[in-house]
Amino acid sequence: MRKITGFLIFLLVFWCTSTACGKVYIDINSPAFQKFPVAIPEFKNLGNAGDEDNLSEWFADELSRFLKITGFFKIINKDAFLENQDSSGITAGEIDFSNWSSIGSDFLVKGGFSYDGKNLAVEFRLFDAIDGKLIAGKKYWGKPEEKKAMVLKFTDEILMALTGGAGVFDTKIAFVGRKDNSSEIYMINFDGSDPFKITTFNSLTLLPHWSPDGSKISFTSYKDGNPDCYIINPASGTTRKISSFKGLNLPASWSSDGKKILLVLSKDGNENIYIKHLDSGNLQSLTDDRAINVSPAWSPDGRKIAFVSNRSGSPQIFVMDSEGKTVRRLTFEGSYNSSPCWSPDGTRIAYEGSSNGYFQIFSIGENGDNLMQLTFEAGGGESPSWSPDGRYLAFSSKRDGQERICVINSNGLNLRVLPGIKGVESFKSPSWSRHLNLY
Amino acid sequence: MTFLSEALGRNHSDTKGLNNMVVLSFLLHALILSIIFFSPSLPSPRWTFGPSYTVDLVSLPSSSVEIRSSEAISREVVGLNRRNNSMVMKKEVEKSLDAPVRETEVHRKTTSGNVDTAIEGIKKKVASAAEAYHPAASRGNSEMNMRMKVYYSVVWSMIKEKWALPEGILPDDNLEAIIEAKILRNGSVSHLSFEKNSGNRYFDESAIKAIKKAGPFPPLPEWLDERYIDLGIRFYSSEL
Amino acid sequence: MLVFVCSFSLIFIAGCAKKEVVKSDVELTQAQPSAEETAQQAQAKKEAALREQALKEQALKEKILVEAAAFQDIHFAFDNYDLNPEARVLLGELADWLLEHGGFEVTIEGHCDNRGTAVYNLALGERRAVTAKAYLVNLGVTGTKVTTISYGEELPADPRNCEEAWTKNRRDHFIVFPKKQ
Repeated sequence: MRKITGFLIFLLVFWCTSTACGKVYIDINSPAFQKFPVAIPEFKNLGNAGDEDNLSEWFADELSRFLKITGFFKIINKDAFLENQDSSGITAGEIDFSNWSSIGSDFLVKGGFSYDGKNLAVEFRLFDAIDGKLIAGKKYWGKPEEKKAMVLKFTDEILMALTGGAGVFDTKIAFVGRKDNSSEIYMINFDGSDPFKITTFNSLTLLPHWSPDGSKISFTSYKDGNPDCYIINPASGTTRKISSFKGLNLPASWSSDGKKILLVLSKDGNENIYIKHLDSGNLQSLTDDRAINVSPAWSPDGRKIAFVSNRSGSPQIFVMDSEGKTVRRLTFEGSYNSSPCWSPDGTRIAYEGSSNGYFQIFSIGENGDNLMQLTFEAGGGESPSWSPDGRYLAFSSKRDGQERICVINSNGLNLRVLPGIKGVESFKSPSWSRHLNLY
Repeated sequence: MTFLSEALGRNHSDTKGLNNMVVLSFLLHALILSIIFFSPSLPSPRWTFGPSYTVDLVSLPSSSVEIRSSEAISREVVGLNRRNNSMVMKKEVEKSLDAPVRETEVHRKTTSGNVDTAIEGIKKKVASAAEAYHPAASRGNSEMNMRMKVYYSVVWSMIKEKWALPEGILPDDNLEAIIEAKILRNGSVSHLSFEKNSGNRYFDESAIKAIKKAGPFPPLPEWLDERYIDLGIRFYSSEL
Repeated sequence: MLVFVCSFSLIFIAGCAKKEVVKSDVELTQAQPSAEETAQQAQAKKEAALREQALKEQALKEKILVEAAAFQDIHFAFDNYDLNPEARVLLGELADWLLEHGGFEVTIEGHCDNRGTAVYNLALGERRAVTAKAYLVNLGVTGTKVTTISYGEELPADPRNCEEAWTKNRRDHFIVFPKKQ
C-alpha cells in the first residue's frame, strides 16, 4: 500500500512538473560538417639528455601532418595556444582543459620522449578537452630511426578512437610513370613519401594491379614486342610472364584469394574477358561477343564482375555474375563511362564518366542508385582506385597540364595532389594496395 | 618495426548507469502514457487555446517578417505536448518561431528544402533574439507556452551551432539519437542521458558533445515556477 | 751500311711502284694492249657493271622503300573503327603494292587519341588495326604478311590536347618492311 501511494505521489509530482512544461522534444537534423579540431603542442623532453634533433617540435609537427592528411582533422594553430607549456604536464591531472576547450579545440594530444640508452621512449596521450578525459594513450620504445613509425602507429590509434577505422598510412599506391616514349611502374606512400621505381624495362609498361595480399603486381608490358601480361614481386623484382597471346593481354583485378586474375584478351578477334587460374593456367571465357569488353573488376565477395562494354553503342559499365551470366547495365547517365572499381564493402562502384568534355570521377551504388559526382575541376579525373578502408579514392588528373596522381575522400572532399618524382613526366593508372604492415 | 608499446591509463566510460537511466525513463514514459490513454477524466492541460488568438512577440522584431515568407513552416503542426495534437495554433504559426519544435511527422518531404533555409534564417534571428528576450510581453497564462518556445528555440540554435562531425565518418543510413537533458534554473545542464542510441558510436558521441559544448544555456525564464526543465533532444543525421 | 742499303732499296721500290702506275696509265692511253691488260680491262668492266647494277638495285630498293614509307596513316572517327572512303582507297593501293612486291610485309599499328581510358583505347586501337588487316586480306593479301599491334593512346603523333591533335592521333600507321630472310 505504501509503495502504491509513494508511486502515485511520485506520479503526481512528475505530473505537476510535466503539466507545467511537459517533456518537450526539440529536433535537430543534419550536423554541420567540420573536421575534428585538435591541438598538438610540442612534446616534452622527459629525460636528461639534450634535444639536439629538436624532437619536441618534430613529433608535434609530424603527428599534425599525418592527421591533416587524413582529411578528418583541423589542426589548431600554435599561436592560439593559451597554456603555459613549461608549467603544464602531459597527464590529465596536470592539464587545465579549459585552456584548450576555450580556444575551440575539442581534442588535445600531449606527448613526451626520453632517451633510454641508445633507445628512444615516446609517450602519446589523446584527451577529450571538453570532458577533460583521456581517450587513448600509448608508450613506445624503439630505435631513434623508428620514430616515424611510432607517430604513424599513434595516428592509427587516434583514428580508431575517433572515427572507428585506422588510417591507410601502411598502404602503397602503385602507378605508371611516363617519360618520353617509355613508362614504368612505381609505388608511393599514401602521404606522398618514399617513391620507388619497380620496373626498368625501357618500354611501355601499363595497368598495374596489386594482388590482394600485397605481394605482387600484375601489369602489361611491350618489352617483348607485344602487349603481354606479367606478374612482378616488387620486393624481389622477380617477373614472370603469364599471358602472351596474339593481340592484347591486359590484366585486371585479382580474385580475393589471389588465385585467379581477370584478363582481357583479343586473341580470337574480339576483346573479351577471361578468368585465368594462376595455378593451373586454365583460361575460362566470360564474355564472347562482338563488342569491345574490357576493364573487368571483381566485387569483394567475388560473386559479381563489373566491366566496360560498348555493346549498347557507347562505352558503358555493366555488371555480370562470376560465370558471365545475368548481365545488367549499370550506368545510364553520360555518353562514356569506364574504369569501374568496386568499393571494399561492395556497396559502391567508382568510375570515370565523361562530362563537359572531360572525364570526372563518379561513384554509384552497385544497384545503380545514388549517383554521386566526386570531381568537378577542369583537370578531370580518371581511373579511380579505392583505399582498402573505402574512405579514399586515388585517381589521375591533369593539373597544370601535367597528369598527376590525386587522392580524395570518398565523398569528394579534401583533394590532395601527390608530389611529383624526378624523371617522370606524367602519372597515370593508380592501384591502391591493401594494408601492408609497414610499421 | 619491432618496437614495444603499452597502453597508458584509460578511463572507461560508465555506461552502466546510463543504461539504467534509459530503462527507468522508458518505463516511466510508458506508464504515464498508458495512464493518459486510459483516464480521459484528467484535467485538460492549461494551454488549449481558443480559435481567435494572436501572438505578437514584440521582443522579436524582424524575425516574424522572415518567417511569413516561408510557406513551408505554416504547415508545421506545433504542439508542445504529445497528448494534444489538435492545437489550433496553425493560424498563428506563421508568426511564431516554432520551426524546430515538432511533434508529428507532417509535410516533411516536400518542404525540407524550404524549412532548412528558413531554419537557418530563424537560427540567426533567434540568436540575436535571445538577448532581446524579456518577460514583459505577457498576456496571461496562455502565453507561457509560447514564451517557453522562445527559450527552446534558443537552446535549439545553440546546440545546432555546436553540432559538427567530419564528413565521411558516418554510414549512409539515417541515424537518430535522443538525449535527455535536465536544464536547471541557472541554465546549466545537470543531467545528460541517452533516451535512444543511434547505434553508431561516433554519431552518439558527437550529439552529446554538441550539448556539452553548447551549454550552459540561458537561465530559465523568471516567470517559470519550475526548478528545472526536462528536454528531449532528437538528433537526426539527415534532413527530414 | 746495311741500314743504308735497306732504306735505299725501299725508296727505289716505292719509286718503282709509282713508276709502274704511271706506266700503266700511259700504256692504256697508248694503243696495243697486251693479253694481260685485256683481262684486267674485262675484269674492271665487269666490276664496274656489277657496281652499276648494285647501285641500280640500291636505287630501286630505296625507291621501293620510299614507296613503302609513302603509305600515309588512315584516320578514324571518335570511338569508331570503321574505314572511311579515303581509308579504303589507301588500303587498296597498299594491297596492290604488297601483291606486286611479294618480299614485303606490313605491320599495322592501331592508335587512339588520349581521351577515354587507356584500357578501352588499347582495345579500340586493336580494332582499328584488325579492321584494316581484314580489308587487306579481303583484297588478296596473305594474312601472314600482315601483323597488327595496338598502342592505344600511348604513342600519339601529336601530343597536344586539341581537336586537331586528336584527329591526327586516331589512326592506323603502316610499317612496310622487307621480309626478314
